[in-house]
Amino acid sequence: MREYVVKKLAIAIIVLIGVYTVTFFLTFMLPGDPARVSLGQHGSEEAVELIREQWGLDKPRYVQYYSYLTHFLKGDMGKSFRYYPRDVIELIKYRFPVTAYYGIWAIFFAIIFSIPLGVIAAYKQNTIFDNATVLFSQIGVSLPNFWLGMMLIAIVAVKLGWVNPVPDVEYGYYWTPVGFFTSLKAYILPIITIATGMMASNTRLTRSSMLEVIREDYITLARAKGLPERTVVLKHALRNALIPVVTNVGMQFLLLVGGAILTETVFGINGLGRLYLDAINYRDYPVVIALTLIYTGGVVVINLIVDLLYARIDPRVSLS
Amino acid sequence: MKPLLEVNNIKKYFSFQRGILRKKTFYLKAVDDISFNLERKKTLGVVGESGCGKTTLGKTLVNLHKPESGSINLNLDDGTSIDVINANDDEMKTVRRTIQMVFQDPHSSLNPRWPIKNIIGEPIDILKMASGRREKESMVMKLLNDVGLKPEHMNRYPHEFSGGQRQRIGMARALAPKPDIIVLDEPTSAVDVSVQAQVLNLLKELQKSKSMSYLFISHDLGVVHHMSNEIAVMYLGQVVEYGDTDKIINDPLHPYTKALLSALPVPDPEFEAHKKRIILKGQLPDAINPPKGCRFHTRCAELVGEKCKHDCPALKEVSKGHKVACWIYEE
Amino acid sequence: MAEKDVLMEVKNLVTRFYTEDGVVKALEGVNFNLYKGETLALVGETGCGKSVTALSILRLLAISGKTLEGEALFYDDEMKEKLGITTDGPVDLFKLTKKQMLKVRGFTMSLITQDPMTSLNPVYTVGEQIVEVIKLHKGLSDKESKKQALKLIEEVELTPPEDIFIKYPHQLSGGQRQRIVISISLAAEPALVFADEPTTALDVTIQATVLGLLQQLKEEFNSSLILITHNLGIVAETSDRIGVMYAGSVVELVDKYTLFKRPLHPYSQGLIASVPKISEKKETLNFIPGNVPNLIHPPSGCRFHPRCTYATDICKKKAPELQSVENDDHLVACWNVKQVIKDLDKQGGASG
Ligand SMILES: Nc1ncnc2c1ncn2[C@@H]1O[C@H](COP(=O)(O)OP(=O)(O)OP(=O)(O)O)[C@@H](O)[C@H]1O
Ligand SMILES: Nc1ncnc2c1ncn2[C@@H]1O[C@H](COP(=O)(O)OP(=O)(O)OP(=O)(O)O)[C@@H](O)[C@H]1O
Ligand code: SF4
Ligand SMILES: [Mg+2]
Ligand SMILES: [Mg+2]
Repeated sequence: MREYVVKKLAIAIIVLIGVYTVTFFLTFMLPGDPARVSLGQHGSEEAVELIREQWGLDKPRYVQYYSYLTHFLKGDMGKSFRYYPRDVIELIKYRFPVTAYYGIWAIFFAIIFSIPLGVIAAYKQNTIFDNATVLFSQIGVSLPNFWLGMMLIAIVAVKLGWVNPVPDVEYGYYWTPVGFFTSLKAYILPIITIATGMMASNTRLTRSSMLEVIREDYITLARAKGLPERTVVLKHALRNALIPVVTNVGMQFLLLVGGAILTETVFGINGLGRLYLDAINYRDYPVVIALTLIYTGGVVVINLIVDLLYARIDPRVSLS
Repeated sequence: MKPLLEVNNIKKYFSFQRGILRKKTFYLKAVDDISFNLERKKTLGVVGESGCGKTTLGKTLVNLHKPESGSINLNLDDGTSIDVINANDDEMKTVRRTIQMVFQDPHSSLNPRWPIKNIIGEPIDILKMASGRREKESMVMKLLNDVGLKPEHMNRYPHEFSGGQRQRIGMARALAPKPDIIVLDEPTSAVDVSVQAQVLNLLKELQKSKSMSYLFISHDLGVVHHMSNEIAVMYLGQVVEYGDTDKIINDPLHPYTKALLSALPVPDPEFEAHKKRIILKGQLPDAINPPKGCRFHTRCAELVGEKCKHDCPALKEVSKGHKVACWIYEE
Repeated sequence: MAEKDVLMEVKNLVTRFYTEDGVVKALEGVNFNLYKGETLALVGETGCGKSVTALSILRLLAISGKTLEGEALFYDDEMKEKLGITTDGPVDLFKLTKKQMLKVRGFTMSLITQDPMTSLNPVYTVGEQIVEVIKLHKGLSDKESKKQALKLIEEVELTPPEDIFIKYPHQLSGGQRQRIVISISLAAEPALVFADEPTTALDVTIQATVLGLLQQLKEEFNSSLILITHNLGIVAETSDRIGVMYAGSVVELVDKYTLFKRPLHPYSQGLIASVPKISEKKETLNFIPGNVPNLIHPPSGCRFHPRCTYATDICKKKAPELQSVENDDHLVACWNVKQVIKDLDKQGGASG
């Protein structure tokens, strides 16, 4: 297994370099000069030139490519164009806790409700409960995040006035032991926005995979042993049914990024999603490249975790 | 007259690569040096455990696999002889027409989206046997009639038929090019006994009326006994015993044939009550790494000695038309 | 045959499946009795209700299935003791509560299913799956249960047991898995084992050893066996008595020698005659004309009548009951069995 992890990580480095290369050339192909964008319409030609020199933009592409790469390999993400001279890493460090906070809650809710729902629905196939679950998860999967967020603001925040449309919690408070729970109310709308789709897809998958599993011979055999229904479902069926769900949850960590961009725009949250979107708009290339690489790294790590989990749940999978 | 089909020393190996860094190639010897003759209007039965290479042998005969070495000669009634493996395009067409195969699984070998007339008509199209649509349809109708189905079934789809009927459709498709030889791969393993009886009767009738030879693959010895003139018993890619059906059934020589016969449940309680049972130890060995020497020695009840473990016995004639590959019968 | 103590009497089982296409009338009055220690085979073509009979008795039908009528009377003191029943007479399984059924399954009755590839849970070791039953029904400690499990693994001739114990199902061959399933089914020494096509998925040589083992252990544990199969060869080899099923009921019930020598139900006759036999070579085989009936719209009266050469008017109207013919141990459900016997005697006794 050790060998497997090492091999995967080695492959990851190659992938990261490839992604870096593609992002680098793609971003620099975007129209608009970062120096010009940062000074606005009124900056003089000379000032722009000066900044270009300072940021190294006057050098040939391949020199820039190489210099970024060597810095990255040393762990230096460079400086932001937009917030010059602040380090990119510093910006990301500042924004990360916000997104992580509501993201973790969203995924937690998406798992905690969906699996029991899916199991019960499958178990009570074709009852009202099942049909309702199927209907709601169908709706949940097809609702666009953006629209859902707007509707929640319009109804829950504006009309009913239960919460603020924009989460009003002091930066960082939500990561204190008490704040972690008390901030939940303020962030509930973005959490619901992101969690709904995930929950719906997890529920659907759990239900269908459970339906398949309970038809297997080994479930009949487990019942024929005289095991109570609870043991049959929780011990024999669920673990097999969860195998595809694990992959889905892994995927959702990645979907979180896309969700974050939209959600943070709607709710005015200063998280990584906003940072990414702004960086693209302001041609803040170091930030765009750094976030893309971090995202890619995340993909690799999550895939690795999914693989390891897989091997733990399903003995037929061997890591090699 | 030469036998219709002469098969000499054919081998069919499948290669596998294992290992990531140092790639090593392994060979699975699915058919390993098999020879036999198929006579006109006769049936040769092939029996053996799952994975011993029966289907591969059949597919090699109809050119779905190209053998590594060996020769297959087709001796037609007009006196011409075709070297099947090295046939040119023209000869290949004759071979395709002459040798047909009915596949093991009637569910997966019929295209579910095609009506029956297209399934049966396909070989007619490929071999350009009909001059127009009308002629093709009348040929299809006649074939359906031959296998005991109704002409109006022509426009239906495979899922509308029962297992036994699907087997008949497969048979009609094989009959379309008017072959001289049909390879029947477990034609009744998916159907019930009473349906099996109908299919077997049909096969016998067709053989007689159309003067065909069959290579009949099955792991049911009772069925093979009913259908065949001669039987070849296979074990791990090789033929271990070969001879007249009655000889093989009543006087089996190879320890494996004996075990196979004793393991086969016979639907006759009185016979069963007196049957001597030979229980084979162990599973069928890994085909990629077959045992050295006689391939059967790891499970053999009559092992004669060290020789079995080191040298592979050849198939030798012990009495007229009865061949066996076992050290017990070598002086 | 074993001593003639009755273990179970199944009376008039009626089971239906409620599907989108309609109501599948899967069982229509299944009757048979089972003696202690015997092997009773249920044979018949695909879809005739063999598996559904077993699942109905175990009360393990799919949700769409319901057993509407019938009794399964069990004469087993051990079972009564376990359930705390003190009244005299047999216990009707269909009258037990769900909770009581849990105590019965695995303890009094167990099941072996067809496909060893799918009948073991892929995510637990085979050891865990055996221990589970032992703990459940014998109430032993973990350590004791494991010891018992190892002993069972040895009984089914898998060695070394310690190695097998920690294997996952996919690491074993089909024959080895089926041995594990057998050890699970026998773990609590049940009075009755249902084996539903226990060797269909195995090769003939492996099949022979697994069947031999099952037979031997069944005797050792003093269990009765209901062997479900459509292979008449296996039936001839392993059973004591045979119940022939057709379209949802038992149409003939008799010892195996008589069934093969002198079958009296027209369907049994057709079935036996259609098998190619090694002892005699015939040019053509007999077969039963027509098709297996659709159980959503089954034929009226005797469900075999559209395919039967003996059919008369009453056959279309009323279903015949299983009744003793010739002697008490030969039961046939056919209106015209007297005619069948007359024809047989004309031919000189034997049929098939
Ligand atoms: N296309 C293929 N590629 C690789 N290996 C193959 C292929 N076809 C068959 N084999 C292998 O060759 C061996 C012989 O297979 P074959 O299908 O001929 O057996 P069989 O005797 O027909 O068995 P069965 O009774 O199960 O049909 C097996 O070990 C099989 O796994
Ligand atoms: N879950 C189900 N839903 C609907 N119909 C069913 C269900 N299970 C069985 N049936 C029907 O009940 C009838 C009896 O089925 P059963 O499985 O008992 O047949 P069998 O005799 O065991 O056949 P086989 O030899 O193929 O196993 C069949 O017509 C089948 O289609
Ligand atoms: S009852 Fe009638 S139809 Fe049924 S088997 Fe007897 S004779 Fe045939
Ligand atoms: Mg095959
Ligand atoms: Mg069944």
